[in-house]
Amino acid sequence: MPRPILTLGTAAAVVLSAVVGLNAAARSAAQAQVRNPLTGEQPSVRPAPAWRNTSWLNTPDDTPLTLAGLRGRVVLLNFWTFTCWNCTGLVPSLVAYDGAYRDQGLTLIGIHDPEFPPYGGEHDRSNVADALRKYHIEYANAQDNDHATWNLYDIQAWPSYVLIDRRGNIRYEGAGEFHVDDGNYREWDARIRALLAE
Amino acid sequence: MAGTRLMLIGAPGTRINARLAPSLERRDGSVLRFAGGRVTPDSSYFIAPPTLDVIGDPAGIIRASVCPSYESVCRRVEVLVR
Repeated sequence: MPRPILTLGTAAAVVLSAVVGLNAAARSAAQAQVRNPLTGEQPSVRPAPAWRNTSWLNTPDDTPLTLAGLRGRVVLLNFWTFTCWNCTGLVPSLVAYDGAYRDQGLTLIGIHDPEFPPYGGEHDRSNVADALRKYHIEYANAQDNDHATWNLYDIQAWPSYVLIDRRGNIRYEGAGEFHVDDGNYREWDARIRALLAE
Repeated sequence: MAGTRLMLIGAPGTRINARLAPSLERRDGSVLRFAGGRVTPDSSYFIAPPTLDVIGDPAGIIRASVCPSYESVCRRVEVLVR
């Protein structure tokens, strides 16, 4: 989508009011055609594309996790950045899923995608590591500074999540913050348990 | 040298992320950050619109993280200024 253009006048400029609304509405409509944010309805099952991230945290010796290597496990990808309040608001739910289901076959992976260019600090590995400690995140995280995996999965917003079954197929996709024991949390909990039982 | 004050106002129902201060990436490569708006108690969102006083040419790209409250997500918004 081309960037909106603002031509400034001589007076103080007011920016973004209409633009933000336009962008949000257009993208929300487009996203609704493919998936329902939060409820994560999925129109069709398809193979998950293989990510190729090379910078990892919270894995043994920072070794990358691969989709092929996780065949047989249910995988929940969470696209996030530590500067996003909705993303960090979601973390307690993800930590809960990790604690409840890791030993039952769930692998939770955070895909850290900066919103801004490097001057925002999101690309720094040490800042990401600090965020993992701050939010008590123990599951694996990959830096996605070039947005390769973000684009591979056609992600549109922060936070987004993709649930992959044991055979490597995408079964559910969603976006948005939810909280432990609210309706959306229970819905995704049920989906995880269902895939673990397959 | 003439100056320009830029003010960012989100559409109704949206919030501007204060954890990642909006920026103006100028054509000369410099980056200026918006500031000054009041923020929520948790410092996550601007309550009052952030502003930026630019001396000289304000042309460039404004970048902001915008979070519509009805979606619980954040999206990156970019606006070309000329």
